[in-house]
Amino acid sequence: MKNGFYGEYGGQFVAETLMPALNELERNFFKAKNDANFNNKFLKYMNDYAGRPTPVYYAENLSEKYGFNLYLKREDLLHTGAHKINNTIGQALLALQMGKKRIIAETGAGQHGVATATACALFNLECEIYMGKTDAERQRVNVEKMEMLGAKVTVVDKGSKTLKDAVSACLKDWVANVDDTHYLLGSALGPHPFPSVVSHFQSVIGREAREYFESSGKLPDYVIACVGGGSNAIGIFRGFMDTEVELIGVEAGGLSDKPGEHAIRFSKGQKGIFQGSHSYVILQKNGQIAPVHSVSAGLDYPGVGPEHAFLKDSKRVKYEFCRDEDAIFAFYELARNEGIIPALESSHALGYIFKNSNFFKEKNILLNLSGRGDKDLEIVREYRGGSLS
Amino acid sequence: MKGIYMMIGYPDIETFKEEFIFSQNCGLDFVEIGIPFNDPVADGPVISGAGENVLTKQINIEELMDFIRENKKTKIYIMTYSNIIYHYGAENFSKKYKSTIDGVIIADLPNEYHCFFKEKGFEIPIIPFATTDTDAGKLTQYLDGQNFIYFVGLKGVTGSKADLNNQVNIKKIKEVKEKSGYKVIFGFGIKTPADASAVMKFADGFVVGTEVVKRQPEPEEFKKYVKSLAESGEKQ
Repeated sequence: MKNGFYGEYGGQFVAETLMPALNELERNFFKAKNDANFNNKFLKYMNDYAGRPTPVYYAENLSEKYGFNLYLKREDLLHTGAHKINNTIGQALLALQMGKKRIIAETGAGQHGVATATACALFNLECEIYMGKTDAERQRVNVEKMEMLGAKVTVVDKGSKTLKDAVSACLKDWVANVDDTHYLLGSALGPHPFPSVVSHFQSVIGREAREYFESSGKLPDYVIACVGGGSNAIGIFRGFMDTEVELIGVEAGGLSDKPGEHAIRFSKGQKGIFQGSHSYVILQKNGQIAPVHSVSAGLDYPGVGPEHAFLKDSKRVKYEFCRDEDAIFAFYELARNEGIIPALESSHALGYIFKNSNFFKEKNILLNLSGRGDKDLEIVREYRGGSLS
Repeated sequence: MKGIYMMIGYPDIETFKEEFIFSQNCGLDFVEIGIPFNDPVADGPVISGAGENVLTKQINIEELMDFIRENKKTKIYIMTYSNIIYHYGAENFSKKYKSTIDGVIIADLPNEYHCFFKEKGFEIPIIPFATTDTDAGKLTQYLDGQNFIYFVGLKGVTGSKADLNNQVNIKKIKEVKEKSGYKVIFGFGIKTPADASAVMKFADGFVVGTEVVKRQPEPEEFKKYVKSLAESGEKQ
């Protein structure tokens, strides 16, 4: 068996037909990673187009209120409003290098879809985005943005009608069109080499954050990030993996521990093979994929990236969860105390901190604010019974 | 080698049993049994819809596998997805079914990853796949006493239409047969008995899935169609 595992997790559990495309991507990725021209081009787009480096902001008001020092890595300030643009620019450059003309991508909350459509517009690539029907309805503004950018949005009216089904639709499309199409996978999951590719392009987050703290002479005590597929978390964790800093990933606790009401893969899931890799998955008793829930359209995914599974087992990262109500509380808490409206995904990481504020007293916490929350206003409005105020 | 794919327990237990018995008695060489998975990334709408139907009805698959074991007359293969076997436990699955089934076809298990299950104690032959991109020389390292190689006749999900005169396919099948010494069965894209006959000119056999599953809800139509497949290729 080829390498492509993090410990026992990862692999390439896909149709044989896709193996040449995965091998081609692997070859091109490892070549590009060590190619100064490619890296310079990527950095140029990151800096001049996407808006890097993003600042680390000391959230003074919340720090004072809760008695800890909260630092926010402001990925929400990037072009298109989330860290997703790092990966889509990187993979779009790889697609060009491989001579692909067409890009497909899945999206849950819509941020990866918008970032993919943006990269495709920039590089003149044909673009089709798959999105579950439920997600397309709750993230309507992002659907409109994708269409404005020239992408075709295909709504998937199957299964749970969310991110899981969008990924499946992409895999089916890719099998049929693998010769001229690149699947621009949006998180650090799926078959090898995608988890490595996405982590690599997102590692810029951790690198910049590390530089900020090193220049101020002290590393944070904790680095915390939400974990859906896990790309923003891996991105920031990568900068601190070789330190003593405690790393915490926060999953979607949903409504309760009842099956179907959460997306807590690590403590409520089990090892399984899902959408291309071996990792932790929430399953039913007969090996079928279980339904999951989160108020965030980006976190209600039954699987998780294989590197996170490895980090969980090796105990380098601790995985906790945050319920919907605590995430909504955090959404408002950041908006009203700091004037920043966070994505509901990031609100889970924030909610976990607020809920456990006594534990974090006087500690220095770095939180990856992976996206902004204007896309989530309709969800929050609905959650609160029709009013945002 | 002529074969069909049937979804287990579809459209209901009794109809499936009746059609399974018929299929074993009508001259086919093998029957491939689909075990459903609710994230079937290789299946088109007909097969994934049938699988969803079985899962929704919560049909007891183990009971049906017992029925298959008790009534086995031809070669039986299971077609499913990695997680179904992994969740059952590779060794447990193998111990329980190795006397019932002659091989497994795992839609999301590429050849390089056969060892993932073998290392976990899986002893049932895993049928290797070949595609037009397959390196026929390299394929030999995945041959381990299986009965045949499964040639994926098109890029796409089940139920798509294959170009049966595709010279690239025909050339590749010939190359795979020569280099492996194995029989090559053509799967994906066969819709009619005439298609099956056409395939038999360059492959060692065929398997028809979607068109069979489409007919599972109508036993008489199913029997007529499956019989015509069993008789295909013999009048040339």
